[in-house]
Amino acid sequence: MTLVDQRPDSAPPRPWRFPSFERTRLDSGLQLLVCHQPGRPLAAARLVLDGGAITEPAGRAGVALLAARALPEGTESLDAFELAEAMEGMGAEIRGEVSYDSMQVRMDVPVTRLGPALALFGDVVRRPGFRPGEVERLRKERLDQLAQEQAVPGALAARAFEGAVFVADSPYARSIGGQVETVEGLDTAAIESFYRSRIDASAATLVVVGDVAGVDIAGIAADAFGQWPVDNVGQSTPVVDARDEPTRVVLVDRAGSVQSTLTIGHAGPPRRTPDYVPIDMLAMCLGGVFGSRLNLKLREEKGYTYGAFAGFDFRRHGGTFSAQTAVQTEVTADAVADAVAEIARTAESGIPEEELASTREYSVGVFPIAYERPDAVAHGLADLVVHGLADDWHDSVRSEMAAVSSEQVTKAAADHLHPDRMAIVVVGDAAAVRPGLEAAGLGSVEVREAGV
Amino acid sequence: MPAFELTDERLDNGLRLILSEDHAAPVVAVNLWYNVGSRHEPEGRTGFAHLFEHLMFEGSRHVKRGEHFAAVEAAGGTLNASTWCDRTNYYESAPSNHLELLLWLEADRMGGLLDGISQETLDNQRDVVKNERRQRMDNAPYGTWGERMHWAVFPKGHPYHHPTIGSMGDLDAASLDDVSAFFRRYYAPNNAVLTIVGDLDPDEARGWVERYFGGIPRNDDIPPPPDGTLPAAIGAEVRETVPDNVQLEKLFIGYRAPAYGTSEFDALTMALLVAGQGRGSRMHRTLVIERQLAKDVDFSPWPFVGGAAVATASATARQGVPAADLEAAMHDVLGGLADGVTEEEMARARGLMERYELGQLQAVADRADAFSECATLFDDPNLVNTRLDALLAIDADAVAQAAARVLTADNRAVLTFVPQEGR
Repeated sequence: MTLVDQRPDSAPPRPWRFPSFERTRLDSGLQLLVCHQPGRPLAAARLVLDGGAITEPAGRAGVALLAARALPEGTESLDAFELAEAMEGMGAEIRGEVSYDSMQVRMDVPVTRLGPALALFGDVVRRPGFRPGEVERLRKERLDQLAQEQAVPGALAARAFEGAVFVADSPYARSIGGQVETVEGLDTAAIESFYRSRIDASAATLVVVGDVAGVDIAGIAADAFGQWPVDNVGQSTPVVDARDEPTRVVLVDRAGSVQSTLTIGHAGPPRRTPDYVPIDMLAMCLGGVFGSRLNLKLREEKGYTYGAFAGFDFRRHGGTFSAQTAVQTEVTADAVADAVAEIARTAESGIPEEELASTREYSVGVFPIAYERPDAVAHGLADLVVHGLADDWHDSVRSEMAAVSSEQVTKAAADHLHPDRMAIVVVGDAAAVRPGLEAAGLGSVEVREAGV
Repeated sequence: MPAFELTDERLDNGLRLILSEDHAAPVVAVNLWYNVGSRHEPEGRTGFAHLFEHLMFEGSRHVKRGEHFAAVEAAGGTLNASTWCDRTNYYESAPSNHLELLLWLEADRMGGLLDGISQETLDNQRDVVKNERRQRMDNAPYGTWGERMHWAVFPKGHPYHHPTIGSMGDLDAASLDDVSAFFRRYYAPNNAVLTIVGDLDPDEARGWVERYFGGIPRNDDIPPPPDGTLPAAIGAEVRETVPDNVQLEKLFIGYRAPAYGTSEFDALTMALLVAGQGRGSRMHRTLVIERQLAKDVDFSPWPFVGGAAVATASATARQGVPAADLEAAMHDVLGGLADGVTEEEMARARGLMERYELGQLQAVADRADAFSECATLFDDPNLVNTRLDALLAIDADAVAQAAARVLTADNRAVLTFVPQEGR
């Protein structure tokens, strides 16, 4: 059989730039980012609002998420079902979501019905129903979701990790969406108060992406989102201090688990850190691609897992570094030790050029694939808004990636990986994995019941 | 939706080649469907087609272990594969200047996989796949519902009776001899569709495909898929109560459905959209908004071509709601579709179907997968350009008739997940 033995060389790539867009501001103060992406018939719209989880009042954790979920559940004139019927009849799907730094209301709709859908979108945000019956239903659904999360390994790991990394009075110490005690205290008045104090045109941006030639988005937006009272109270800087404790193990008991779900890491820098590109490249080499150190060690060499990952979660005021994987129960202590060793090795000796080269090529080359779809471009534009980045940020960061050196990435590893200050969260069968974890000498081992 | 232009041809060795240009971005997608899936697995080797898929990334005649992933990632590309009952697909997207590299890599494993496989890689990927099963099913709340639905809807011995992931015991039994036999039987050019979509020059692409794939011999002894013929209905309701590590009770209802590719399957899909897609659906309106029995509802059609498909609906009970109450309400909603659906409901379902289909075809990788699917399963890649209109033309009567035929008490399996004792 004939196969060609010579691996072919590739020609130079065709140039690519992040899709161009226009940034304008309406009389109401609403900022508008519009990107015409030819040949993309499903438009993506996002309203970026200054209502992230870090803006929740004390004792009201979860109010931002509940407000975001309540917005698409009715307007002044349409109840939950009527609104859904109107939106979905246009082929539109709308939902509200919350990160630490923003609230975003997202809508996908065929461009042929973008105009009327945007008009209704305006109603959803400007004239929400917040009917007490709907809010109470959503509150109970959220409580049910929190109960169910007690059975979900990844959710248990995330909660334990955030609490182990940040001091108790930091909003970063708790998962977005609050906990049972705070959600139980929420009601329509709490949502309306949060909405009035945070959601207004002066701090809002509408992002629209798709094949929108011929759609008067500015005119539609002026009608749909105009005349918005300005009550935004501004933001105060949240507490983001880390606990900064020596490396220790937090073992969350989930009896009967056939895998242990691991989250290992510590606090990290904010999004606008000057060494963002070297840090991001470091994370890619450690756990961001298939050929990363963690995935090759834990999956391709040891067969302990279906996959292993690592990354920095960059937020406006701080963030986290974490490695994540799920491993067969029997190998838990060995897998944790291997992961910790890879992090420590990387912190000590960095990433050599021969290893960095392919990851650099990946990071630069993947841009045109990552931004093929309107929803991905809309996500990229929303990021500019949330973090106050320049309009040419995507192109400039890509150029920076192409030029990043092994020395820069190695320095980022030394500066931002702290193997001696890690929280090692293990969600698994404590009776089975505790002895091994204690014997491994990773640090103190604290055992918790799930749900405590 | 403007039609996508494509060409559809075959190499002398039977490899079907579909090309479709799109120069909107300097990106190209390569997509290969092999006409083999878990329904082709022999007795005692459940999960093998998927385990084999993993081995396709571990090296071949001229590609060292680890080089396949490394080469595509270093090209700025993304790649993966998936296996389901009817097929196995392999796909990568990359900056368009690397198309020739992608084709060389795919050809080397189509023609020379066995030279790259060892007991060590088999054992390693067996461990990886067993951890995939643990992560997605055995350690996940409700994670085994799909497997149980296969068992309930299809009789023992039927090609769809077992799920693609397979059993731990059968995975343990897989040997290097199984790998060779499976490769020689199914991984031939005349059992595959190669689709390339994106920033390409058709003549150049054709030349590369001929150069890299043209020397791979065809296999004239590919066995036909196993016979999946079976009665249209299950015959009697199947029930199972499953204690699991969960906090909320959850119901999964599955029906044996007409095969994918029939107009009845399409009508049933529209019925499921009416019943379960979006906040305006009947299940959401009745179970979540009005009666507040469920925290969430969902549905999914399983598009199988070999004899019968599956339609499923699910609902998570609110705390304190007895599963029996929720189940009765679900049966009312699903059974009620046979009494007719309104034009408003059809308009909503059509809007959501259009949104879904447009979203499916925007990225070149997704479009390539759709062309490969329609060529492999229905011998007509151009269905990608016509299937949305066909779905939108389905009327309310056809939807009610499909519901009346399929969503019946003697044709359903009901799985009730409940919290384990003592948890």
